[in-house]
Amino acid sequence: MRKIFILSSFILIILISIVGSNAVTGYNYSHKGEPIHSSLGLTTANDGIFTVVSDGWSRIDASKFTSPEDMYIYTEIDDEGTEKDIIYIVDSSSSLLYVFDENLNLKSGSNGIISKFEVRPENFTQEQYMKVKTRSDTSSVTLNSRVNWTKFYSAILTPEPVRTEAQRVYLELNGVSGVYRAKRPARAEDGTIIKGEYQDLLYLSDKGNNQIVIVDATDYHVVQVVSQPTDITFSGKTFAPMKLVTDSTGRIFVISEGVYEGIMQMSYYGKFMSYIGVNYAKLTAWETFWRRFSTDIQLSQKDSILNTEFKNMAIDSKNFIYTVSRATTDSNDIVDNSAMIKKINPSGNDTLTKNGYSNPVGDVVTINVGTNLLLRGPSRFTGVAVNSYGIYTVSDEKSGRLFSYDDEGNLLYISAESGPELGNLNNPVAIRYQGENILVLDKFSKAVIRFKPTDIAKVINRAVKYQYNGQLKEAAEEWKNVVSENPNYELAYVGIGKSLLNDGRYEDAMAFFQIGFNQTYYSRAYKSYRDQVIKENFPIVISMSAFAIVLLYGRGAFEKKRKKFMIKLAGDK
Amino acid sequence: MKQNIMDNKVVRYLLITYEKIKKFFNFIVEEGIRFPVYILFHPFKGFDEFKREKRAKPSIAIAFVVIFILLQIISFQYEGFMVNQNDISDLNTFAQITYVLVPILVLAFGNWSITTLFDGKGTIKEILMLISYSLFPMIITQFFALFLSNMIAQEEIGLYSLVLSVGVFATGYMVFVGLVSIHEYGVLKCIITIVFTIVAALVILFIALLGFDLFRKIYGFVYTIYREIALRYF
Repeated sequence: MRKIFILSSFILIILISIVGSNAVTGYNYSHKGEPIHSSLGLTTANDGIFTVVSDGWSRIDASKFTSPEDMYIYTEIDDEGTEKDIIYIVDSSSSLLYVFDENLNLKSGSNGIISKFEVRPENFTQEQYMKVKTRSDTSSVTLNSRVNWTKFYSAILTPEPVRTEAQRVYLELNGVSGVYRAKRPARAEDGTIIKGEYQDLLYLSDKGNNQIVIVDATDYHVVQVVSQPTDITFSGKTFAPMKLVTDSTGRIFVISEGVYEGIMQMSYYGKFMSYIGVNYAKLTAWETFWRRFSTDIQLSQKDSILNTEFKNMAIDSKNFIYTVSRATTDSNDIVDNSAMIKKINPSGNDTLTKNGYSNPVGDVVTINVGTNLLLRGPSRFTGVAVNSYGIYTVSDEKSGRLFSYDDEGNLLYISAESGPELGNLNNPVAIRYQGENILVLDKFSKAVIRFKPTDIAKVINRAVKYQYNGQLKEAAEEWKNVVSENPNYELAYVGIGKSLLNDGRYEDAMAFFQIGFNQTYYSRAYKSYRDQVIKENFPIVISMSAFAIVLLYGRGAFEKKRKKFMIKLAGDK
Repeated sequence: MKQNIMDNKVVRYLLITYEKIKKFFNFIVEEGIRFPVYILFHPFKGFDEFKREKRAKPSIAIAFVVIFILLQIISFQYEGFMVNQNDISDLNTFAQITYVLVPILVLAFGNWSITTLFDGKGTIKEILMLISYSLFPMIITQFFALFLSNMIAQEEIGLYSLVLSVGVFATGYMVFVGLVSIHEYGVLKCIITIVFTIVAALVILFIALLGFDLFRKIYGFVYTIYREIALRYF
């Protein structure tokens, strides 16, 4: 008896440990915009947190990694076609560039930490050289004051490979706050594009020196320096580049600190062209009226109404720029959070699709009262990343969360949170997709945190991918798996409904769209269903009504004839 | 012995009941449908009958309010998905009742308190009956809209709201003409009293809120004393 008892309890323990529910619950927003329980999208594990104490980071001095500002992941494809990620992190206080491999191990030797970038005389004219700035201790000076032009230019007499170290001139960054790497088509002297030839470049926004430094991605010599624009529309402003991206033709898009007109669009050669994607602050008619009659002194006492500046951006493979910015607040404290995320097309207009239950604004329900300003108001986005099939994820510094949306604007899942633990996000400054995973650079904990999709998030991602490619049937299969895991997931019902609609099963589709609360698709399914019903019953209804008309009219006609006949008969008598 | 069939008790009872039922339905058709329709299309003559000949029946008035409340509740659940995203678990019957009753009562009493000062000839009973009789067009249109809402696509929502707004407009029209008639006012004076009615309604609501708050405070005070005593001595 005792044996049986021990044996059965042993089996029970094993069963419990196998079945064991370890589902972590997160939340999502329902069709009404109310928070409901949902599954977490991305989670992090202990082996996904990288800081200065990590194995691969042993050569990084903790005092020189105090304010990491930006991170970029570039996928290198070598001659054999194998893909390899290379990860760049810049630190603004030490102005160093750290280079990691795909597992966040610092590159060996001098390839790991880059502190200075060679400036070669053959790449610069005198005019360009005079504008280049470098760092001296903590302040910014022109490179010419260090090494004057004639001395610099004399090095050209010695060919590059045999130049002595004394002959080489280096540029040091000052408060670097952005890094980006891309290929751009090479151009000849006269500006024509050389077909099939590309320049592999690393772009560094050198905020303290008011310039963008473009260096070669392999040996880090400076190729081009974009200085303060001399354009008339930029006069009186300081060029302090924060983040930048480039498109496939080599145009540079820059977010500059203190520039409220929008994103600066610069040409291949670094010439300022225009602002795009402006975040206008709106004034009500009453306010415009009132401001017209107030004196300058009155106006100066009011809070100035500024357009919000952009915080971060990312570019996808089709040259759409995803940007994040703060919500605008007008003088009546009315918050407008409708344009916090934008998808700017190549001609500069916002084309973000907002077909979700709520607009993509991060947290839909927010705290709007109370003295704690850190918790108040809408989400404050700091970073955005977009993957190959249209899912974009934004990081929110207020709540330390990551919000993932699909290309239609549906909120897919919410992950991470702020807190005192190492895996928590408190000040995410950069967020990038690495395949399915997401790497987040947290400035507060000075760490890179790798988030992996949970099992259900993987299924959701697959479904979205199928849907993105128009494979509705395969997507519906995945959505069914999502529903069986999480019946609260309303979006999945819409996905199943779309497939049914495509198959012509309108009535079933209607039921799914109703559960998924999608009116547009419900209406579409209903119209087809109505047409179907009318088509099926049309012959019966029409023949019945024709019969009825004939009967009614015929009776009247018959009566008339009968009466006439009777009168005639009477007349005959 | 030949017995007259009419002498049979059961048959007589049945016949009388039949007569009663027939009379009841005649009453409903006459007073509940024909008369409101008559008022709607001949408002001045209709309201003359309404007031002078005392044709307005309290029973019909109450029935209209009850039907209107029922329609609200039914609409909450059965209106088509295209225009109705209510979650059925959010349905609160008492809330629906108050949404209908409170505005009617507040406006009626507001109007009465103003019109007595402005030489209005209507009594509170007449005003209440006038408002509930005026619900008739809204009841009819909402009933149709209930069916219509289940047969429309997204582009046809305009049709649905047109039907509803016709009802609202007709109700407003009936109330306005009714007020002119039962108080024996001119149009301008009626408009002025309506404006003041709204003010009076706001005042009533304000006082009601004040009363509620006071009550809540007193309740809180008594409850705290009770807690204090209960925790200290028991």
